[in-house]
Amino acid sequence: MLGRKRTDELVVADEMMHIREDCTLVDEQGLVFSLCSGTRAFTVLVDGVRRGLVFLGRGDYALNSEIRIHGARFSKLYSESFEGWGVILTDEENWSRLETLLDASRAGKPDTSDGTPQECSEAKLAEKAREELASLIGDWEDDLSAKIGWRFKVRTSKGTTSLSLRKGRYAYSSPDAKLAVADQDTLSLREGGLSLSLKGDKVAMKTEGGRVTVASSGNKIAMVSPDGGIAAAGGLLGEKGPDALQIVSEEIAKIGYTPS
Amino acid sequence: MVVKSITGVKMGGGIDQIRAKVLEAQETVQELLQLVESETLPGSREGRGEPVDRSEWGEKVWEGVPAAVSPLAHMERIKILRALREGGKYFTELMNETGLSHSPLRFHLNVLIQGRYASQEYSRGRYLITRLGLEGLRHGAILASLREGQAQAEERETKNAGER
Repeated sequence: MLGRKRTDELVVADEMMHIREDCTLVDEQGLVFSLCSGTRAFTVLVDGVRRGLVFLGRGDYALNSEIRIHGARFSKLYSESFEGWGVILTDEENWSRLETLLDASRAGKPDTSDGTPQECSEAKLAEKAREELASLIGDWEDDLSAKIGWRFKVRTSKGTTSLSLRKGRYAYSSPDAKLAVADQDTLSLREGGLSLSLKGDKVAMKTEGGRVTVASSGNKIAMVSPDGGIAAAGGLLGEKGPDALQIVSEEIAKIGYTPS
Repeated sequence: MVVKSITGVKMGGGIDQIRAKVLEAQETVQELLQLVESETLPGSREGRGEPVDRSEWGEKVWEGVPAAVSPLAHMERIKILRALREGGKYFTELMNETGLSHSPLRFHLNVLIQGRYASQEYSRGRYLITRLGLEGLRHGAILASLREGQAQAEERETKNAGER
């Protein structure tokens, strides 16, 4: 056990893999996750079943975020490189695919040409991997023995980034953005001073200027100014009022979302 | 070229000249649309010249427009297609040429392949631009040029109206 509140048990295998070719581990549901050659990895077992990797090396990820507001679609690709220790966990059936990919990338025993006794360096690194795994997943309190889809946590130059993705639903957290998506019409986004929540045709938005826009349809808008005064209430703006979609699309364009 | 005509309008050339050029541009857009209407569309089996007869496809062609256009609506994908236009490229070559790292490049390539704008060789693994990719670049460039030309003409028209 790694001192967590969950009921599952995580074990780091002793044997170290050496990834010799750049390798894409995940390529589905708008997520691409890759490890670079030279990365060293240890298998993680959850309740005795191989389910992921704790690794030391470099890689990158790309997450395509698509949202739909009042019928209009917008997208943004969140992408970062990472370096150092990281962890990726998945379900048993995904792991078998992942294992094939690792074989294809000729993951194998590390090069020991530097003269370091292999057993010694491997054992030390395995010990470090256990510490890092405990540190990385310290705040994951849910049961990892259940179906989790894909889950990773890595360290980028900006800080720690994590993602949990299952059946199109995902929670992404980086130093720049926090995004929870249940589906294209239901999400919560906090990024660059913008806070946006979306449920069906109901949009709630808060910008850096303090303005809040709530829309129950394209033209029914309530805008609250920074001092708290209501500029216009639902339905009052009518057909001639500003369109909620226009206001929201202008704000999300500032953080990189483009119409798609 | 329409763009040359529009951008060829000299400052102070008069509002009538600008109007004529805008009209010319609009007519060319109409001609292009008619061309699209009359032409058969490139087939999904890239590069093999097996077109789909638009008359058989009917109104569905318009439903297919957003899906056909959206893969091109990203600068990184345009960069990739332009790199592939010069010839087949391996993944690492594309990484170097586009400046994209591994995962974003793979994501964009997936979109282009699913959209049939690019493909991958079975034998050598190189990425290739398809006939649709070439046409996409060409038509995209025409639309972008027309749009810019029209914007410039409108800007001049507004400026001239203000000066009068």
